[in-house]
Amino acid sequence: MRCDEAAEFVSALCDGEMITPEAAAHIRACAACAELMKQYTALGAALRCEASLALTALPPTPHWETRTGILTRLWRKGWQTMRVPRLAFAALVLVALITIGVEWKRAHVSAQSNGSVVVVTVNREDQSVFSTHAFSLDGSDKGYMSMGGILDPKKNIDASISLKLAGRAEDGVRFFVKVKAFPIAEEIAKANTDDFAQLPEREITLIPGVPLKVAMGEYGTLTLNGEWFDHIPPQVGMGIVSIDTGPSELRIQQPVLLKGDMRIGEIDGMTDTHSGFDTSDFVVFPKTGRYLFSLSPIPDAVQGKIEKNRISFEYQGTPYTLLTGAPIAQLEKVWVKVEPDYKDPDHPGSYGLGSLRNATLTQKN
Amino acid sequence: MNDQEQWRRIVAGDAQAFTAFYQATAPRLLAFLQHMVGSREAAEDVAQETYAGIWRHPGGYHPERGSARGYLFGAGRRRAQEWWRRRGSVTEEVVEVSAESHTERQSMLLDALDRLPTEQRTLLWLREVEGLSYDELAKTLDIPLGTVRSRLFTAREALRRIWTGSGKGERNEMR
Repeated sequence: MRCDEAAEFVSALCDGEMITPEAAAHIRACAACAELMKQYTALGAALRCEASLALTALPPTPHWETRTGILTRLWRKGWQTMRVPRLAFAALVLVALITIGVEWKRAHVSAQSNGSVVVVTVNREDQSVFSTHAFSLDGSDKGYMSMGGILDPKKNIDASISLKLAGRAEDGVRFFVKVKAFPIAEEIAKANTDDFAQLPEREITLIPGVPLKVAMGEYGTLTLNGEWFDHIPPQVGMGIVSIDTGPSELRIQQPVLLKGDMRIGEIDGMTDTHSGFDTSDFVVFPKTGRYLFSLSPIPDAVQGKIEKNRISFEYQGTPYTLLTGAPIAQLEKVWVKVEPDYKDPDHPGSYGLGSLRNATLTQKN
Repeated sequence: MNDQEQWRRIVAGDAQAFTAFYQATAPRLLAFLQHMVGSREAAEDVAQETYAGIWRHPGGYHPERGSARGYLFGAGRRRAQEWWRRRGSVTEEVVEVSAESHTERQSMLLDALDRLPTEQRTLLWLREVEGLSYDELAKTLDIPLGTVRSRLFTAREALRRIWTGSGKGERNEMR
């Protein structure tokens, strides 16, 4: 073997590799190859020495940004290249998140089988909402809650359904129920003579999620639908879908009545709303009477003012304020009739919230 | 913490583990890159790109294919090649070796190294300084394992010739 053939094996020996016996025999006996190995070895050592000298101070450690997924990176890229106002986009995203959050919470709570509040929505046969009420199962709702309204507008039939909590049942809630339905003309004639307390009382079990039909005598049926909640929803009532009222809508939700600075009445968990100028909403507070509110003039009424969720009016020189849980109407003018001696003929001493036609009011008066 | 545990944490997004990896390897990578790109400043830029790239995509390293250090230097080498391409130049500056005194000989060694073609320089550095095995060199530099021994010999002999004064003035080219 010649030296130029053995040189590659000399290099391999410097790398710690094994070589062929022939190459090893030549290198051991060759002074030139031994000198070459010495030079290669020295070169390596010198390189490592120089490299060690070249190791300088480490530059400041960078901040390693937390790795993010592709969606986050796309979000950032989109944000950086966004052409619409970012504030508007942020507001839109916020609204979307709130909406999703509300829907999720609603669905989540509704899935429970033992919420502390059951919201009962009463529907007419045409599926329109007759009334809605939230019943708290914490024991605070002990009396009858009456819900009245028009059962069949084509036939001029009015109806009233009263529910009283009886307790929990397996997967549902037990109620005592009383119902009545009359043609409007007949109701007017008998309005102050019927003794609601004498109506037969039935016990029903309402299972949230399962519609329950209640016969209204010869005039048809109302359907009860229950839904579990763990709180009283702020917009419970009458199938309200928007916080804004309609053009002719008058909405009273969970009202609180102030006489001057003193609170004289409050109804929790109940809403009444209607559209049209021929109907009045009313609230009844025990010992303080009935208060009717109409968007059109009614007899013996004073004019008040609507500002978002409050109605201000003056009666016998005293300022009154009705505060509610949602906007009341788009209009500013409202007529308020105060009946301080009014007592619910069906449930004297009870609270009440509902609506009645102004024509009925006129005839009664 | 061993290399595998450290890399498992890096893959999981543990910035602290990656900082430890950076602090343990960055000085050597910088020294290597300085001879790849010719200046400390450029080496720091390339090193930063290298680490940032690994941090973003740590899944590119497979322990069964070699050491993390080999993977790091391979990534650094590729970044250095990109750096040269971005500069629009494939030719490095030729450094004349003029001093011959004994005190200057060792300092001239690195200059001699810089005169080698990039592949030879990389190969020698990773073998002599970083101690990568033939197998790791083949994987890091994407060359056939069977050619590592001959390539190393060629590089080593070229450096010896330059260092001893017989190969002065050769040009280095990026490939």
